Formats: sequence, structure tokens, C-alpha cells
Amino acid sequence: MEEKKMICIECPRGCELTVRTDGKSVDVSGNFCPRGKKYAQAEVVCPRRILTSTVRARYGMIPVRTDGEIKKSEIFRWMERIRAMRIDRDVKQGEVLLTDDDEGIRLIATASYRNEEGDNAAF
Amino acid sequence: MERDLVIIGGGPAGLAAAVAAYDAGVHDVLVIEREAKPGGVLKQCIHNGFGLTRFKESMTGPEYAARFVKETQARGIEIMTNTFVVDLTADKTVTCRNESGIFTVRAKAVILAMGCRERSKGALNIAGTRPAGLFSAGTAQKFVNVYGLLPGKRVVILGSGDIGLIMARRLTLEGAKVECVCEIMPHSSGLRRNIAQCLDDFGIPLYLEHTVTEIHGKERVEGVTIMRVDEQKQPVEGTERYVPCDTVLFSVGLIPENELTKRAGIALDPRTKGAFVDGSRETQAEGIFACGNVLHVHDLVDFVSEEAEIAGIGAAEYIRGGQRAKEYVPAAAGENVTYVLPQRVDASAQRVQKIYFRVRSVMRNAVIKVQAGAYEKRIRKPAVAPGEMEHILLPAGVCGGVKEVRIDVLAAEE
Repeated sequence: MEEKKMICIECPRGCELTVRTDGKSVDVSGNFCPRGKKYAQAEVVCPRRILTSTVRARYGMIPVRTDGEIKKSEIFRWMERIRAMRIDRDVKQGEVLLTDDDEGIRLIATASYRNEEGDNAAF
Repeated sequence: MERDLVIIGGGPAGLAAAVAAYDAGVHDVLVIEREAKPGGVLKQCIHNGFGLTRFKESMTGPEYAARFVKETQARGIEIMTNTFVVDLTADKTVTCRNESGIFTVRAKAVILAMGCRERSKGALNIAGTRPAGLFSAGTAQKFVNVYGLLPGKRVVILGSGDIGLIMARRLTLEGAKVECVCEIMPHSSGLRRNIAQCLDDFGIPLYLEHTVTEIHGKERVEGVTIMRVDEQKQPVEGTERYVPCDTVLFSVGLIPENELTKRAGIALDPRTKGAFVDGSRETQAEGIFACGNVLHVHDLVDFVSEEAEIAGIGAAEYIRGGQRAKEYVPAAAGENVTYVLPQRVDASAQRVQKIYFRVRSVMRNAVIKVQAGAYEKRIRKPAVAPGEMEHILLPAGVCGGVKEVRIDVLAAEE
């Protein structure tokens, strides 16, 4: 029996979870809601995260996120692809900018972008 | 210019207040925003985790902001951007400046929604020169997420506030090496989930009860000396450690931006550093309301929106019905409570009043005790922490004739 403590990241409550595994079953305690149990089970088998970043466009940066959780071990591979991207057109919030081949997870824009000088001024 | 309601600030607080006031029957609303686009700091908060309480989904900052911008657009609410409010008086005259010059707006009611700013390095008194490479965490966030510029490659973060934790992860993703996060307190001021997903996920160490005592480097930061501190927060001799780095981020707290509030002569609470308000978030100046981070610093935007709606409805009722007689009862911070907000409640209010508060120290198995005369309620909490705002609901009609409403946070009796 292996015991592990972790903080649930599903919501700001931040439950302190205790996870016991014997290789076959995963026993979770300390969770306030079912999402905590699901999180802890995934965490010992294959941890996953939503990835958020920015994509470089001609006149500014476009904030993006994955539309599902990617494998934690894949985060830096995704970042390499995101950093290599260049956008030179208008983008609507929610638009797909990249699709992952393996799992069908997509990178979507979280804000609209107008490909015009001056429109993306921060101030 | 004359308007019914002027809202100063087009961030999450200002936008939610505008929508709520509109829906409560005041349609002549003007939101004044100094930046080119509404949304406030959410525009640069590209990470997810917003909206879980309010919308039961995890949204990024820009998505959360866009939802409220769309609501204002659907109602035709005017948002005047690139406009800076330079003065405010207690009789609700708002002086503004923009490209077209200086002008004044006379309002029937005003909502203060100016937000907050970061405490600077200057407030910390750290020895050393002033090389390039020192940033507040929020400035670094703007550089990376808005301008697409990396402030440095080897980073030490002082203070474990949420923005610092978020930036530790963000800079790591963009290829920088974050050496450590130093926190002078024995606990982090950030959310526990952010320590897990921003530091632990990337193996970034968090040194509690540690601080930066010296910054090295002349033209550019070359390193910092970090030291452990004792219970009086004094550096302990012999614990010096040199950490090479080219960048230092400061995530050492937020301060409500109340310059306009002060100009209007409105009294501020030294604990919250925002205005004293009542249950409808009206300040001590009649017809001037406040909400969001200018009133007290929130950890979740969901609560900013909620508080802004209280202020928006309060302002709309004031505009439509004028000031009605209120029966004030002070709300007191009891044992293990740093502050309560509002600082006074209206005993004659016909609705449930929500009272926010912060605890003084971390506590497991706590009981929140609310008392107003004969009314008493106890709520059990598995854990409370200073970084995580708590709230209680005060039913209508329980405060009539009582001396005060008091909130204590006690250890549960087992």
C-alpha cells in the first residue's frame, strides 16, 4: 500500500487529498466533491492539465488554451509547437488554431484578435 | 455632461456593476476605462480557473472578461475607453481626460471600480543597487502575455502571492528557469491549488520563512542573497545563500487604488485600505458606491462580480428612489478575523446581506460563529486560511435593535 498526499487543483477550495494505491485499486480520501476523487485517480495513473499560453500574431499576442486536458508529460512538446506558430489574420474567440494528432485535443483562442496595427494596444 | 450612473473602471467589477444596475432599471450608464479595451487585469490573466464558483466552469481571464463585455454590449451600455478620471468630488462630479480634452460628468450616482495595483519593491527596503531585471509579478505578466517579451531567463520570485505563483509557471513554460519562490511568512498567501499546479508540477522550490536580503548586480541583476527569517521576520545570521539570477519578480501584495476616493474625501478603512461601506456597498458619501478590488482585495474574480452586482443594484435603487433612511449596525471582526466587509449592515434591509471576511491565521476544523443579538449561527469549516476569503449570509430582519453583528472564527470542539 502506497500513500500519497496531494492538493486538489480542481477548484479554489484546494482539498488536501490522501491517495492510497496497491497497484490495482486507488483509494481517495479528503475530497469534498467527486471531482477530487477523479483528479486524484488520474494523478496517480496519468496526470493531466489544461495548458494555457499565447500565440504570436503579427500585431500582438493571442491568448490560447487547450480545449481538454493534455498529458502533463506532453506540456513542453505542446509549448514548442505553440511557440513556433505565427498568425497573420483575424481570429475569433473560440477558434481552433491547432489540432493535436494523437488525442484530438485542440488549441483554441481565448480572445478575439484583429490583424491590424494599433488595435491590440495594451493601453 | 449629465448621466444617471457613472462607473469608474471597466474591469470585472465595473462591467458587472454596469450590467446589474441596468437590469435594476437604470439605463443611462457610463463606464469610464483608462485602457484601450475593457476587461482590466483579466486581459493579461490568460490562465484558467476563473468562473468556477459563478459559472461552474473553468474559464481563462480573457474569456471571463469577454462574457461581461458581451453583456454590456447586449444592453447598449456605453464604455468610454482611453479615458482617465482625474478628479472626483463628494457631490458626484467626475472630471475626465482623454484625447478630446478635459471634461466633467455630473452623475446621480457613482460606482468606484478602480481596482488595485501591486505593492512595489520600493515598499520593501531591500539593500543593493537598482539594476535592470526587477519587476512586479503583474508587470512581468503583461510583458509575457500581452507584449510577447520574456523579462529574463533565470528568475527568483519574492512573495508567494497568486500572481507570483502563476508567473513561476508561465515563465517556466516560456523557457526561463525559475530558481525559487521565497515567502517571508510561514505559509503562502496564494491559493493552495496554485502551489500544487504552478510550483510542484515543475519542481520549483518554495522557501517559507525566507526573504531576499540583497540584490546584486550593477547594470543587470546578477543574483540575490536569500536568508531564513525568525519569528520576528528578522534574517537569521549564518543562513545566507547566494542565488545567481538575472531577474527578480515581486509578488508582495496588492493595494486598492483609492486616490480618487481620497480626493472625494471618502473615509477609508485602514484594514481593507478601501472605503467604509454598508450592505449595499454605499460609501460614507451619499450616492457613491464601491466594489471589487478598490474596496478590498479579492482572491477570486467570481466574488468581485458578485460584489459589483450588489453595488450596481444599490446604486440603481438610490437613483430611482433616492436615499432612504437606513438603520446602521456595525459589523465587527471578532476572534481570528482580520476584517469584515461591509463594515456596517443595514438592519432595515429587506434582503439577505452577504458579509465577506478574512481570517488572521490558518486553522483546521474551524467554526465560524455569527452573532447578532439573539441570532446566532455556527458554520463548520474543514480549513480556513488568510489567503482565502470567507463569507456568511445574514438573513433579513435579524439585526433590528442589536448593537453589532460579530463574526468569530473558533476552533471546533471535538
